[in-house]
Amino acid sequence: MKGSLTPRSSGIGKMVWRIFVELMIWLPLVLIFTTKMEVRDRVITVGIILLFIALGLLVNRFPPLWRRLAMISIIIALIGLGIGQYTNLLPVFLWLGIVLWRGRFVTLGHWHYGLAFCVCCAGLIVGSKVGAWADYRIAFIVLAVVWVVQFFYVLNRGLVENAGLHNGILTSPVKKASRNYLLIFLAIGVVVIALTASYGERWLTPKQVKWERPTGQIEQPIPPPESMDMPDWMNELAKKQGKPSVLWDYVFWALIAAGAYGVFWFVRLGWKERRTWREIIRLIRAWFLREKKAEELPYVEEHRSLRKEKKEGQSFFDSLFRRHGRKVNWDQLSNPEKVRRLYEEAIMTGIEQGYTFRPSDTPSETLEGLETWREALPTSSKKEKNVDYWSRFLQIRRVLLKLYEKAKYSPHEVTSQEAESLKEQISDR
Amino acid sequence: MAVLVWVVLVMAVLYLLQKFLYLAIGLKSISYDRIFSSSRVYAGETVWMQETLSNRKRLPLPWLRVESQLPAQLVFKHREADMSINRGDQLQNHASLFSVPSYTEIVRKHEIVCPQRGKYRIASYTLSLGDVIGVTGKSIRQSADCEIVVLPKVKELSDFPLDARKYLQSVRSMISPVMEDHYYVAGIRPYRQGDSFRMVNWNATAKSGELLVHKRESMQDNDLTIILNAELHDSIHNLRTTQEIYEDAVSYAASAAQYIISGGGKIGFLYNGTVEGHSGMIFRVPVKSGASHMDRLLEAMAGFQPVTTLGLTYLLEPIGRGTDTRT
Repeated sequence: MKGSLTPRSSGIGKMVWRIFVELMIWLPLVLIFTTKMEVRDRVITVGIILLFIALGLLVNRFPPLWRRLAMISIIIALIGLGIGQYTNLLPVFLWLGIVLWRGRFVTLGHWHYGLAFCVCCAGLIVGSKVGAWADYRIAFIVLAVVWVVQFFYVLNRGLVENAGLHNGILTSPVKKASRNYLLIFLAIGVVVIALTASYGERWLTPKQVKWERPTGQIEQPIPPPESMDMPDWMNELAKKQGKPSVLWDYVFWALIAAGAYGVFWFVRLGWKERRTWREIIRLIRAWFLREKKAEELPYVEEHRSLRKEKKEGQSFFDSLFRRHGRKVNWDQLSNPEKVRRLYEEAIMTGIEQGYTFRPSDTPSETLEGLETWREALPTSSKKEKNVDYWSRFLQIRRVLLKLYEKAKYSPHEVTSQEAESLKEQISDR
Repeated sequence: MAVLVWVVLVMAVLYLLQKFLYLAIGLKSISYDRIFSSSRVYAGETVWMQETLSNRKRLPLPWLRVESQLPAQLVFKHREADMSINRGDQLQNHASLFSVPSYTEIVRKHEIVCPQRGKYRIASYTLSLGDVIGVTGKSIRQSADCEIVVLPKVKELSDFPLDARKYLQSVRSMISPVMEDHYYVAGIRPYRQGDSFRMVNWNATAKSGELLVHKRESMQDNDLTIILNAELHDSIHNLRTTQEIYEDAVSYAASAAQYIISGGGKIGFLYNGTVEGHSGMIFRVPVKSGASHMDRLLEAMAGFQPVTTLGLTYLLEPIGRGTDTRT
């Protein structure tokens, strides 16, 4: 699982980038070590570190035997110098030895970024003990988050390579898609961290209770004041401290109301502009799924969406805001919906007048039942309501059934002429 | 420091959440199917192997690998060296990697050359899933029912040796109804251009009012029975037949049968080797004509194996004596 931030350049560029990344990995330690130094000394120290990083990469280009000999010699020299001459700088020399040894990693794998994260953690721990290093705290945190992101990025790349069995089956579309999903995951992670970091810090930081033994006070108690009367200058202060004005309450509630209105306004605006939101989401999606360059694939591939075409007003949010019982205008209905509306009207008219609807019946049985029920009614009640409607219904029952079955179950389309003709027949227009 | 611990904690929780999500429903509503564009092809022809992968749920799949074992005789045409196809003598491992968005169907087609005849089956495949980070998750093994029959290569008549070509041409020419070179009259038929007036049946012509001629019966047996020997070792001449020669022989037999049947002739077949799925039995097909008969023959020949069931001598002995009436 090898990789680096962006190592797609020439040999020198790649090496420069590698040196820069290595410096960034050790940056917290470098900053802490050089805090108390003058600017000149700082520059010299950073220069030495850069030199050792470059030396490590250079030594790595030697033949294996020479590389090992050179590495061992330099590290022994550093340790010897630390023990013999600069005893207090021995850890620094050891660190330089490690930096030198790390030159063997030309490309950095995910664990290198894990190490970088650990260095940031160490920098934070050390920084929290000394007040002078507190300024670096935010920088270390940001750097650590960057390393976490980079850790996942490189890890993902290596794992996807493994998934492709290190062969030609891993194509760039698969690689890109996998990376996009990872970026979404990381974006969610960063947002969650940003929203909850302060809470998490409070939650994870143990509460510090300061407690001192009051032995001194017990041994030498403070003598009580000679006079307990209130001094004159405090009388004025006591007068000013009255009950807070009720105006503040009004202001508070006014602000709350304004805030609530603002939220309502925002939601309303969002709802009105939902097409715009959808367009923005579509653009973001298109950007993620864009194809830059056609890759020559050893196979032919076709993609087809299985997502059914959704009509306006069929989503979950639409169902939340939909007014129940509101009928859509006849003209806005599609042809099958028109036929189903006429069928529904017939059933509802029957139910209103006493017909017992059985959900288990088929449409054919239901319409037949309606006809039987209508014919079985006494003549007096037949004259009461919708007599004309029922007479027309009985005439077109079979047509209605045929079209309803076509609209609901058949793959064939109901034409507008059929729907309108049925409407005319049933309403006798 | 607490902030960094929180960062690690949040990322770990998110990672575990998506991991469990993919373990729980990653492979749900996933369907995979593999078919060949043609179930029957002739050896040397190209066929498309089509993989259809559908994800009928909201959760996208960052990567999904399909691994299967294909017969080694099916050769991928493009970039075979780079692809994850590890070829063995009998089987080869084939893997395909997909990234499937939600509610998407992907159809992937590979061009395959079928150089060798045979019946090839893909019995199962394994689906492996990766989560958002890329870690391999759940794997399932599913059975498959995907088969392709590679028929023997049919050669042109010009590819046959001269003697064999002459013989086949003579057999096919016997079938011609124009060349009636025999004596016995079998009935009457309408007059055709070129018929001799000596052939006219005047009585029948007078009765019917239509010019009718004698129809003569063929006295020659123009049915062809092909005998194919499965013995690769000729102990009499101490010769060993190679696999290539055997394949050539099957191809010649198929070509001869095709030539005769396409000319309206009849073909029978006798094979003393094993046919795939029918071990220990002699392959014996009675003489018949027609395209369906040819199809059955070719399909059977696709399953011929060079494993002797019965020595050719023992097989031909009863035929020579005339005791075996099944041929």
